[in-house]
Amino acid sequence: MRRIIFFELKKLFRNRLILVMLVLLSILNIYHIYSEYARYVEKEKSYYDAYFNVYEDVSGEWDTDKIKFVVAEYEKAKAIVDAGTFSTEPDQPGTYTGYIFGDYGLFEKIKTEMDTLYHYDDTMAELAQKAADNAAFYQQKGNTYLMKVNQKIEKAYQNRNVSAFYDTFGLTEYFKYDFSTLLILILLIPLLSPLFAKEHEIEMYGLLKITPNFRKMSVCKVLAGAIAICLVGIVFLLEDLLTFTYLYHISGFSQPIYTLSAFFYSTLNVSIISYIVLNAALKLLGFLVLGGVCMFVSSLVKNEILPFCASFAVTLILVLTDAFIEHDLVSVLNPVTLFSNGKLFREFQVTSIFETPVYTFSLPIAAAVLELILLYTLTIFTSCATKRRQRG
Amino acid sequence: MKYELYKLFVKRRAWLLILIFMALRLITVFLQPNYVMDYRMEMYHDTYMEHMKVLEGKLNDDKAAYIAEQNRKINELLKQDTSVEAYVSGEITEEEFNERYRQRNTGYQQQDAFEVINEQYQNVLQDPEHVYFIYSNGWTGLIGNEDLDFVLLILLMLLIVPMICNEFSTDMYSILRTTPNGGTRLFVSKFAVGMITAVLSAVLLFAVEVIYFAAACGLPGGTFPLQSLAPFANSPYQISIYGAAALTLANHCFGAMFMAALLMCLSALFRRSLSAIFIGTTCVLLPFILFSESIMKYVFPTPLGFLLSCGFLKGYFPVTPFSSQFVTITPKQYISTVCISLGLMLMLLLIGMIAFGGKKIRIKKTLAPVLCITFVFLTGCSNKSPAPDFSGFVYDKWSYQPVNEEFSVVRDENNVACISYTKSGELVPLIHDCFTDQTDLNLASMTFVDGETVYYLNQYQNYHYEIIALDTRDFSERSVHEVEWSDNTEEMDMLFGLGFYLPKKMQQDEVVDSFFVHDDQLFLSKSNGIYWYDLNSDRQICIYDKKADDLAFTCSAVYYTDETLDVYRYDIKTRSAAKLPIGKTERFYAVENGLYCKDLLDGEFYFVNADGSQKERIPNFSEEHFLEENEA
Repeated sequence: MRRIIFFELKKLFRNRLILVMLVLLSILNIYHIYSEYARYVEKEKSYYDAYFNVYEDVSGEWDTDKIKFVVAEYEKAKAIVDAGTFSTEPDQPGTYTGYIFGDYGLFEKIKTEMDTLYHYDDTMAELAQKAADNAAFYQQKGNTYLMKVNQKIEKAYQNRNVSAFYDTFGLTEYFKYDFSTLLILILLIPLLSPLFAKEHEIEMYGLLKITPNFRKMSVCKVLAGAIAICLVGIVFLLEDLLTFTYLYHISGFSQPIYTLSAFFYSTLNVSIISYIVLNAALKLLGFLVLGGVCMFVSSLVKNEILPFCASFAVTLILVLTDAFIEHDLVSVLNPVTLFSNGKLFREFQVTSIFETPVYTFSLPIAAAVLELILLYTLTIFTSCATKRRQRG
Repeated sequence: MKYELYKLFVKRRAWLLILIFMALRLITVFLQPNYVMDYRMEMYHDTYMEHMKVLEGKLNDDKAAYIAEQNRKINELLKQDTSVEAYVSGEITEEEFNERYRQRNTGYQQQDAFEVINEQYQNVLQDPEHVYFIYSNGWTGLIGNEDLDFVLLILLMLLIVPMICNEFSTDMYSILRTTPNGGTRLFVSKFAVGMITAVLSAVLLFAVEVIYFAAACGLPGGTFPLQSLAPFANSPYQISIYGAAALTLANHCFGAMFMAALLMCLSALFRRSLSAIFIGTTCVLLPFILFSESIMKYVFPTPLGFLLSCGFLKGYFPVTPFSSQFVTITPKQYISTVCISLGLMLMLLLIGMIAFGGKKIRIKKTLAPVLCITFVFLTGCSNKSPAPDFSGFVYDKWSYQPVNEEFSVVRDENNVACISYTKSGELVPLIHDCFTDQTDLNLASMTFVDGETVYYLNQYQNYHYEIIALDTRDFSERSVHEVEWSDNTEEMDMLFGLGFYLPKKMQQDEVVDSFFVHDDQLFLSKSNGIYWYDLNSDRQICIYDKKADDLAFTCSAVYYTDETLDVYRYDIKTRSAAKLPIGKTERFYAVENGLYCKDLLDGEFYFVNADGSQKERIPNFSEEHFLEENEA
């Protein structure tokens, strides 16, 4: 079986068009990340050079000296700015960014971030206490569901603490970036469309159906398709991570995800690196479902164009539905929701399932898993059903 | 060639496909929002067209005088003294008072309609020789749109690609190769048929658009200069609108031919429909996505620019998105692009001929996508009112908070909305949400108590309001009505890291003044009228389309005053409104069988029956006492 999967994979990736597209789209991806980086950072190079340098100095475990340094530099810049005695000439000596006003903006940002993260434990403890009070109130009122919701809030936000301070600019940009998703989709459609259809088109199917391992071959083809999706996805997602890490000097991967301002109220209590893995896994799950659609259509028809057009149309509809239609059920069922999965984890969101609060983010994941099983089973079934039909 | 035409149009029923796509084009043109059209011309169509009868064409002294005269008339209408003092003091009669109000409202309407004319006038004044007054919606919709015609693109793919690829997939090619005319000559014939089909498709689809816009908006003033149309105000071409439409059609045809040539060449090279369609689509869509805000999508020699067409005539683009600096596509650049594209088409024909002729072509199959992506790299894709006093049972002031026998809703000293229990005096916060600031005055800014349910309004002006029903027995909540909107500007949104514009949201701000719930029927008084919503079916009825001055609800009727302070009663059962013959009213309170109203002239309180009959004066009426009594 492993040999068949290997040969199927070889067949998929031997297509020169796919290989060339893979290489070129990977380069395009890096170029796009760089162009986005250049749009912000290169434009204000002196500011961002200072930004990365100062962050490098103040990053790490909480340290009184580092805090004092930031506060002192902020106060110093603020005093000059308040007095209005600062010069507007560039490259002033004794400044970090070249301008005193730039220093003021930089240290104000760092100070605010530090302050928020330093007091994060207290803020969350207060929130957890509020939730505990609410749970007791709802218990007294006999509202079991809201009691459970508040208990869940209490559980999610208690015992949180931030032990270190790191720059989060690069990571925020990384989690916002999803151009690679488009490129992966562009690549997956032509990669998977011929999987079954081509066997029909080149009349290979007639030969295959008389082989003893025909049924096994269908399963292998589907598995090879899934592995191909994962390989393509991993190439691009890894490329995103490495390029962002290099360009934005990302560090602090072991910090909790809630140290990023966008995930301040996230229900997840995992490290950034774990979330990166989770994010990639969920994206891959989405790709596997869309790839499943592609393979399913390919198993139904004897023409290569139809699965290509149908997969393109389905992907486009799902993407546009995700962008324009805000309906709970549609979002849950749409695998495209998993591509921008950050919004699922940013806030505390629960859905009532039989009067039990369930984290809303688990619903699209569960739906995608079900869709995946359904599509892959159907694909194997339809390819084998064809065999039966032809025998009959 | 004749046989190829016969094969395509008769055997493969291309005519049927073209007809289907014409119908599809009609549907898309009907459904697709057209951002370049000025909606105000349609909103005030009758008034606008009346003015246009006089103004259409080149500006002259008479027209300038007409505009000045109309502006003066509107200002006069708006200056009408509509204060109630003149009426109360007896200086004017009721009829005169009402007439003044009517005139002022007419003035407001005319002002809105004339705003479009005034804007056009300002544009005309900048270049009176080349900018004329015109009702432009039909023309801008037809030639000012920068959307890619996907219908034409798909039609071309379905018609052109199989012309070549079918010969390979059916193995007909090996037979054709053995015939004397089956090589390059056959390809040239196919190429010619492809060109004819492309032109025919482009012309027919354009004709559908012409018919639609001529029927929907009309296409007047075709002989006027192109600069008369707002999107083309900076156009470098001194041509008429008819000329511009012809040029647009020519561009579409050329773009379709270019696309057809590309598809045919790719089909001959790759011999597989999928590859040809994939690379062909990439060549058009990739620059369309990457250069969405850039001039590059026009000057880059792909079929894309010609299929979009509008930009060649427009003549200016921002250097980078949102930049205030503009670059132009000059006529010279346009001609250069056409020449380069013609050269490319010729090259595509030659490559196709060689490939179809069976000669070994040394161009690697992988070169096409390489070239495509390299082009993208070379071009630098990085450039890429406050609430009114409201009387009746629903009172929006906290001191008159709605109550039932057990509790009332109040705000405590920290401004937290609370339920105050009458017997125990206990204060329980209304909202138990860990993530919201309970002291936020936008939360529970209005409440309405119906039995044991408290309906409260969370209102964030300018984008969102929501009415939530809270069951006070177990404090469970459900949202019963929610409206979200944005301002009237275009919104930039991101999809896969690429910016795109969301359609213009036309919805005006809807500030809720008060609401009333009865039997799953929600009555809302908003800044744009009084509305009745059925909470079970989401059905909506507009009871009154203007902001009500004063308002009260009962279970059977809605009472409101119009701008002239006359009271109307809207019967919920019969769904009809009737003016009550009780004269002008300063304010009123409704009860199930009638109204307590304060007369505008004598300042006395009267009780009138629900139908407005039997107006009976109530001496020494105390509003405060009345409200307290009703609270109890």
